[in-house]
Amino acid sequence: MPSLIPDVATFERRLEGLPVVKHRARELVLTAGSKTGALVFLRSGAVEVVRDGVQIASVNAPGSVFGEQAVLLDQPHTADVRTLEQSEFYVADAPALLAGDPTIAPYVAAILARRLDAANRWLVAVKRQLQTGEPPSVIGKAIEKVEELLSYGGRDPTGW
Amino acid sequence: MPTPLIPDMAVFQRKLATLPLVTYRAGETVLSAASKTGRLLILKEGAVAVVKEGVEIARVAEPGAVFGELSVLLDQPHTADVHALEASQFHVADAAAMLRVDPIALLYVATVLAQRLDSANRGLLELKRQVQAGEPRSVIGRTVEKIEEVLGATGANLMYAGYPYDPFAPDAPKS
Repeated sequence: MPSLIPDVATFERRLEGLPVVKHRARELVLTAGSKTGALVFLRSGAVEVVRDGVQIASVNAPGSVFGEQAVLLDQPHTADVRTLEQSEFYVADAPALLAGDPTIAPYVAAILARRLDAANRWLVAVKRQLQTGEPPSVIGKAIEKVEELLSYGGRDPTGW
Repeated sequence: MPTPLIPDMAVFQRKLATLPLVTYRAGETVLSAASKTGRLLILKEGAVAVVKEGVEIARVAEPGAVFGELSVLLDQPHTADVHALEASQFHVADAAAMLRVDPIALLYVATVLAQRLDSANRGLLELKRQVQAGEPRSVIGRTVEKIEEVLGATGANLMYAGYPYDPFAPDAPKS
């Protein structure tokens, strides 16, 4: 069965057709509470994902996607995405893109699936730690890992 | 539930109606953990249990519930067993073929996944608060199980508002 997920070259070619936006270091790319309708792919640079003033992930993998949950669920962004250094992004109008793009839409769906699957595995670790009586500091670290997986877009699900 | 990208759920439901149907009797296995069927199953009627490592993590009886989506999107075996609790009928699709050619089906699945992530995320905030406040392990353990149900239960669907039951919705009753 051929994979549903596009290969890296196809995906990169598709991204290259999108407009590029540049941000300097420490600029907000997406703001929690706002509703932009944008799907943002990291092209180069690095960002942090911040919720309630706490950094929950830092991301520098090209192809990492942000904003997909907000548009799929028609709700505001739940975290800030801020550049850590000068960074470039491909920016797309999410509804238009997701509604019919044969490359981007499966990519985003697969990223969601992978986050869910990985978060689930880490949650099993939290359960085990609770059962074996690990200290709260250890459990807290595993919970942070689950939070990271649940909260940010991640990158190419094919292992690129 | 209407979604911004699937404005007319009736169109999707009409598409489902064109798919072949398969019926399982009570007690039969619909999907087996570790198998790789490449199938997407959408519940038409009946009820199933989702079982992981011998533990039932969810029961699903709502038409429109989807099974098998993680397996096809991640190209990996199913991670849980799905058993019929009563005579149950499913629409069956070749998952990759359907998701490749049908943008609405793909969006339906993606939105179901996003909803599960969102609900789990809210549960996690509660979990963090409980750990920080030093609540008893039994309380923390129950919250972990609820998050596990949200993350692990395939079968979420969008056709009926209020389902799947979201234990972390702001108006959910406290347990």
